[in-house]
Amino acid sequence: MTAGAIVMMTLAMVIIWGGTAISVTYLIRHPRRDDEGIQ
Amino acid sequence: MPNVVREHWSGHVGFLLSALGSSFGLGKFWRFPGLAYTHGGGAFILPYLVALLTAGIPLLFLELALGNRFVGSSPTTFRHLGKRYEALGWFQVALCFVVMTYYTVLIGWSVRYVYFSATLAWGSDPKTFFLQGFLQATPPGATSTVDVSLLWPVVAVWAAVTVVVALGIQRGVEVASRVFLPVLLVTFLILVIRSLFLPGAVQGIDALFAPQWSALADPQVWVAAFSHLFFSLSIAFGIWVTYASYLKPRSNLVVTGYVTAFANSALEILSGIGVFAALGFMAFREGTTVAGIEGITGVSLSFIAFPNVISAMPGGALFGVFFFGCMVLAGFNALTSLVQVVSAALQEKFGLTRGLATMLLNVTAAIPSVLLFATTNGVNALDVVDKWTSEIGTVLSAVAMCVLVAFVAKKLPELQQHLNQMSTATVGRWWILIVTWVTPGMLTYMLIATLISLITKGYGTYPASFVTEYGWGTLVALGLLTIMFTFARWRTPVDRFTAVPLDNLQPTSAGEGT
Repeated sequence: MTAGAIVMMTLAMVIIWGGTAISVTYLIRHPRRDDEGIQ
Repeated sequence: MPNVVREHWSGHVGFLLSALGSSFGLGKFWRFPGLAYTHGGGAFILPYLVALLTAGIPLLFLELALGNRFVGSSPTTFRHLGKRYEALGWFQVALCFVVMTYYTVLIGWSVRYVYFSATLAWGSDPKTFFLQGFLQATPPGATSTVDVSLLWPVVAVWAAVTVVVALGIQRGVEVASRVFLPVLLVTFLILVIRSLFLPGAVQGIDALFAPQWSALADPQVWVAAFSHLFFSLSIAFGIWVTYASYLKPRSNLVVTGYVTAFANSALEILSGIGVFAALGFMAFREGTTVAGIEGITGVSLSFIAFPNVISAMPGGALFGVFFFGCMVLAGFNALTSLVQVVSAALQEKFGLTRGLATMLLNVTAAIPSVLLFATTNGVNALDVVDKWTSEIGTVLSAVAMCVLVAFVAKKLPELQQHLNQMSTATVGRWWILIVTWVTPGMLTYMLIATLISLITKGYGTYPASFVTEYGWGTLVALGLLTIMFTFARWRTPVDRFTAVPLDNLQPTSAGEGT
């Protein structure tokens, strides 16, 4: 693969998959405890 | 209806699965990979990320906050902001209706291709098979006839989605997502992993991500990124407004929104990698490059280029059944959300039962679906209607929503407070700034650029009369549907509504600001 392609694929993976991982982790670690809607 | 018993999701897992099911539609297979490749390759990632962060996520929060705070389908929610604003809700409902009509036909094609894959029925020439054998396609503008062979899968899809939506939020939409989405994700992952191990896969992925930086100077690339993201994340269709209205009053909106937006894009990137790995294999087999493969954008990608790949690979028939099976499941989940938006609006305005509203809706929608798209001219009509819906209709809807909420109803501070009080993560002033200025500014510029381009240059090689009929005609139809339903009489007490009080805020009554 060309260097440009590796850089752009890595950028996309880091931001998007990283964003997914962080948000899912945050959701699990910070649930609404007094929640009526999300159990 | 608000203030009477309203259905709710069973919890955040049910909501998240349904939300992901809604956004994981057919576009993941036939839109994103080809679009990225033809709009700068790796360079397209930049406008895509900008679109995600400056428009996708902020507008997703806006829709979630609107639906959860002003509780209702899209027209009901906007009416709760102010009686005069109901029309925007009906415009969004009309968008869903139009998309439903051609989306069903795409799913119908995919159903047929599951069977074709089993025997590799397209032989050595998938293009001729698709256009002449299967669709019996006629040139744009030529006399069009209904393709009887497409009727049964299209009718079957309409019947199935009617049953799911009529069963309700928890027993229908949520159960369908809980069953179909995991199956879809596992099958999808198997396909991607299989593609990665094909010879030539690396060259295919390189073709997708190799950046052509000059593309960034082309406004159409940015328009394509924003409009695709809207379509992919189902922004400005009223889907999130409607779905959030079924969350219980105190729900973790911000965090759920981040998960939905990022997961949607993660699947999209994964799909791009899988599809281009397979195309790289095809190029390897033919001794050419990915650029030398015909039909790797739009509908052709799924129904022409992919059958070529399927024929060439070991165990191709099974791969094909999985691939088109994925398309059927993805399309069905997304279609369910579109139907839910329209059905909920009809139920609330006309006081119809869930089953009756859904059945009336789907019988009505099936007529234009069959007459316009399940025809020998369907592939062309579908392309033009999709272009006008996604690049004009949704962008117009998003701009109107931002302007209405930020400048006319002036509800952004209240919605920000709602988001922050309901969620374990907060949104700052940046969100108000983006929704007030950045997103509507960028989208207005893009909308004008698109309109100028379509008016002066037309669309592709389609004759002007065909574009007028199906493209501009779609906008006229959207306008007429909006007017017709906005002025119809409410048969339910829609204006008896009071929003949940927030700290330091007075309750908002329906019709305030009118």
